[in-house]
Amino acid sequence: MSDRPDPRLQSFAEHTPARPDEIAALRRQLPSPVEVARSTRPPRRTWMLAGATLAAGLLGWVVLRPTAAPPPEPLSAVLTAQGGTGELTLGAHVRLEYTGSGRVEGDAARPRVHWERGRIALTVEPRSGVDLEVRTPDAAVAVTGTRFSVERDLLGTHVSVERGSVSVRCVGGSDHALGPEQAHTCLPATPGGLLARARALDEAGAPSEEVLETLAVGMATTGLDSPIGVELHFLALSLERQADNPEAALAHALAILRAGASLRRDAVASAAVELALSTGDCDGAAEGLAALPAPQQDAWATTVDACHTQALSEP
Amino acid sequence: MSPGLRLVQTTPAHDWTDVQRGEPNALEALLEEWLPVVLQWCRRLGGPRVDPDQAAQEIAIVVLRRIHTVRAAAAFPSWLFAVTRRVLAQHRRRHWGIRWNASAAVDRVAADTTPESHTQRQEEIAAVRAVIQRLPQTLREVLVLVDVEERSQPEAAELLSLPLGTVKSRLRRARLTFARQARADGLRPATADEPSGGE
Repeated sequence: MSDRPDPRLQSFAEHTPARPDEIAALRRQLPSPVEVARSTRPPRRTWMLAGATLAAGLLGWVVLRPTAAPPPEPLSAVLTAQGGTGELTLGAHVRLEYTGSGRVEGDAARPRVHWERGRIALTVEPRSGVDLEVRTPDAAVAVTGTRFSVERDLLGTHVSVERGSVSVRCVGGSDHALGPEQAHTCLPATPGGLLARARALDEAGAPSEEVLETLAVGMATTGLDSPIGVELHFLALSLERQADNPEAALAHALAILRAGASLRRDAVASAAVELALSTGDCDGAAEGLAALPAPQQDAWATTVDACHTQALSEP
Repeated sequence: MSPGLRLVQTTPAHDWTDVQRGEPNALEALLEEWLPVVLQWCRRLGGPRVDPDQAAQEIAIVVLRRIHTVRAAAAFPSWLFAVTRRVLAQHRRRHWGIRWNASAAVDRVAADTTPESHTQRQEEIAAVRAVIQRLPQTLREVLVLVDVEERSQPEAAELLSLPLGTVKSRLRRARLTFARQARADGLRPATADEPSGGE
């Protein structure tokens, strides 16, 4: 069966073609290649013009800048808007629109936004001299003149730039420079946050590889001595099992059992026995069997014994 | 299998400098060649939460914007597949709330079929699609490229940027898993002389 294609797949292929009329409709909706290419790669003359404008602007700023600015007013405000959009203007150059909660501190020249949950869009007037920073538990975003948004949810902190540029430092340590129309998501920084992200991805139907990637980061940051560590391994066990990777699933099950964790112990032990038997790992099955409660041990004991007997009888 | 949907003849090497320079005719020719392929990938790999037309459009725009970063024509197919995979993953994440996208359930039935056979065929295609979508991504990609799109295994290895041996072992596992899940879902057993129907 596994040496040749299943005829049902051939039939599926015949019913999912890209027909010429569909391709034509798709082409009509696309911008012309020339438009897209132009919008992405401006000719060098444009860059030269932009460079000259920038140099002139810098020169003007050096000559005309105010020599003694008055000390800025300190800022301290709680930002909260649920089910609607809140708006706030900081000084003359910064505008915030938000749905969620956080707070702002610092002053009009150096606002510091601490964002906890939801979405916040920020507009900073270019060349205004404002040094703005947005911090979430997962990331720090620094900016001088741009329009961008920061959204924090179960998946992490999502930074999206509309115009200008921002630098993003994820709490994990990675730095990212984002330009117009670029975005980056910083993963949650805590094991609990990573578990929440993995569960959200799994529930949303994300590919198991993506969920397992998040779980691996979480498992690297916490051990099996914590309940969250056990939950991370347990979800990885379930996903590897669904993805038909019994060896990997068994490794997670045995790791939980060997750590002596009591959380989900019966379910893990039962899974370990089944997985080990399916891969012919009689020792793994015995380890799972030992962790099962007595009634279930009796039910599995004969099968595990048979596994050992068969293994001994094989050459 | 519909004709003209294979990548092997796309992007001839002598045109590549024109493509990289953004020559309108070269870019138009590139779109002409690969847009059908991309649309089919979106349909067959995207899953129920992805609007294939929208995803294919987005891939087209990414390609037009980033094509100058692809150094050689030979690298284009695997780069294109990687872009497709990334955009589809973004679409799946973006559309959590959508449990089933009606446009993903493609209905292509020949005009001369009876209502009964039409319905039966639709159900079979939907069931096959559901089994394919439940496969792990690594297996699904190999199965679609080789068994649905009838590409050679070396060609699939090139598209996926994987060693040939890995593609062979994944294909074997994909076929076994597909057969097992199809049986579990109660699909009619596959037979070599099963009528293909349709167009």
